[in-house]
Amino acid sequence: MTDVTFILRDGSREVVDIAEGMSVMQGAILNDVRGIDGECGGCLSCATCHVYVESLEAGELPPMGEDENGLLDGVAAERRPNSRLGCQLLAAPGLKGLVVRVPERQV
Amino acid sequence: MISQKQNDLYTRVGPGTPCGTLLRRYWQPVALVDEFAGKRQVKAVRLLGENFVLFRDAAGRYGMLDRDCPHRNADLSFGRLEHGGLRCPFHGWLFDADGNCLETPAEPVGSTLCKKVRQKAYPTEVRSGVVFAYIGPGTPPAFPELDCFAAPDSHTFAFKGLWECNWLQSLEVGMDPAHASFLHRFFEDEDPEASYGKQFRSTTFDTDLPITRVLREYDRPEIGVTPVDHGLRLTTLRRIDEAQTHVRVTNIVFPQAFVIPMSPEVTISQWHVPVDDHNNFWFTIFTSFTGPIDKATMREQRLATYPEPDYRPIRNRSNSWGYDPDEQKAATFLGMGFDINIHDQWACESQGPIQDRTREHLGTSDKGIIAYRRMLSRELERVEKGERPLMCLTPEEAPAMRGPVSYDGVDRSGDVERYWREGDAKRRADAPWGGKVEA
Repeated sequence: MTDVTFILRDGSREVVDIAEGMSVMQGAILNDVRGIDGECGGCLSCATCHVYVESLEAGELPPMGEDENGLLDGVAAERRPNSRLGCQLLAAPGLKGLVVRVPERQV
Repeated sequence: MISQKQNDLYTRVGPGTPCGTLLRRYWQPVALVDEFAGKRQVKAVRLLGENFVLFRDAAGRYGMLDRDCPHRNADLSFGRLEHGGLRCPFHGWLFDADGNCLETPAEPVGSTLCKKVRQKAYPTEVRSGVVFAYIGPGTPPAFPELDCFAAPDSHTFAFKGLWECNWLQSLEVGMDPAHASFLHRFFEDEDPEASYGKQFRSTTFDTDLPITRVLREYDRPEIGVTPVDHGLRLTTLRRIDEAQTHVRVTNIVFPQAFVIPMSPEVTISQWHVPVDDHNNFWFTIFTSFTGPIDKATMREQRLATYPEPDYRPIRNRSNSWGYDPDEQKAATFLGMGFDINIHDQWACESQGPIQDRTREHLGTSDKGIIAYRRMLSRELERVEKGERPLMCLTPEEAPAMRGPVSYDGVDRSGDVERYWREGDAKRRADAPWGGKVEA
């Protein structure tokens, strides 16, 4: 299990314990974190689980694939260097202290 | 994909639930006028998880009351229709269509008990062969002047059927234009002349191509979704070749209906009305823009699969919807016969009593569903804040709520929107009842 911290639009923080193999998007949806839509359920067709990766204490995030990179060009909020799609960030052993910020909008 | 909490928010409609509160702000179809043509003029109605009795009294007035007798709660749908009202068979208490208690015959002479008792009654209205009821707070909204209400009785026909699943998954099939190329695929085209009263079986406007062939051969449609005053407009384009584009314009009329073309002459306006969280009735009004509708044929066709008095389909989960693997190999994509209503019924019922949307994966062709859920979320918030939701119309607003355009045809001009707007306007101008263009 991995603790992931979401910084919400109002600045508050919500920590969600995500099971290994599950994505940051799924963890957010199943725990009703506001501001992550994840409409497509993780099949890389919607770009509504956009997050900004603020920090990571240990471990490595999966590298960005071509599809994710393409979809990030079309996100509703500003794309920044730390933009990722939550559906592509899988909770993995060794991943520690992941903090992601919810963008201003998803659509 | 949505959370369990969000799925509950959208699908649970009992008293006091957020979505139940929203849906109670609208007139709801509760029965067909045809159901009162037989010898029994009293029907049990279950709507949004609540039980009612609907009856037509000797004066022809419809009354919809809470179903449990206010005396000792026996079921009034078994009541005796007599003496200007509905009488409970338990102790003879008599109620009129407004819920007034007229007699309590077991009480001593001179008893005033019946003056103190009132059964809750709900407003009803008949429109185009459907009895609508309003069980929400305050004054009911005004009826929109949609084609299905504006057309005369001769040009409309109403029917209903029970689907054993939640209302939302049933409505969502009506905002998913891509499924028609698969779920409703026939391997051979039928003679369009033999297609009266059936959907997706005729040819369409401005082409000799059977619609079955268009759906079968052009299965990656371009779908456009536009928010409009009545809800959503979906425009589905299938590029046949360089010069020809098949266009289908369909609508969601918020909160619970879709309006789609059945054939060049007839449109379908279909509500999905929750019986409770796990069942819904579809109520359809067919509206003809040309000649009168052959109601006897339409009714006979549909009663063959949805028999009276329950309107529960003869193909259902208990008999695997009549699934035939040989047919699936040779004739249809699904293997459950040629009635597309059954195909949709299978799709929805097979998802389970309430679809588990925490397990779904939506694609780009599901954009209508995504747009609708957003709209539903917004309107649920409005109602929670005490505001008036979309399509809860005032008498001033209602006359402007016309149409909506639903159209199916093949454009060769290259300007698809102009094509369907002009085609629709012409069809309205030619309609004997003077259908007015959407405002």
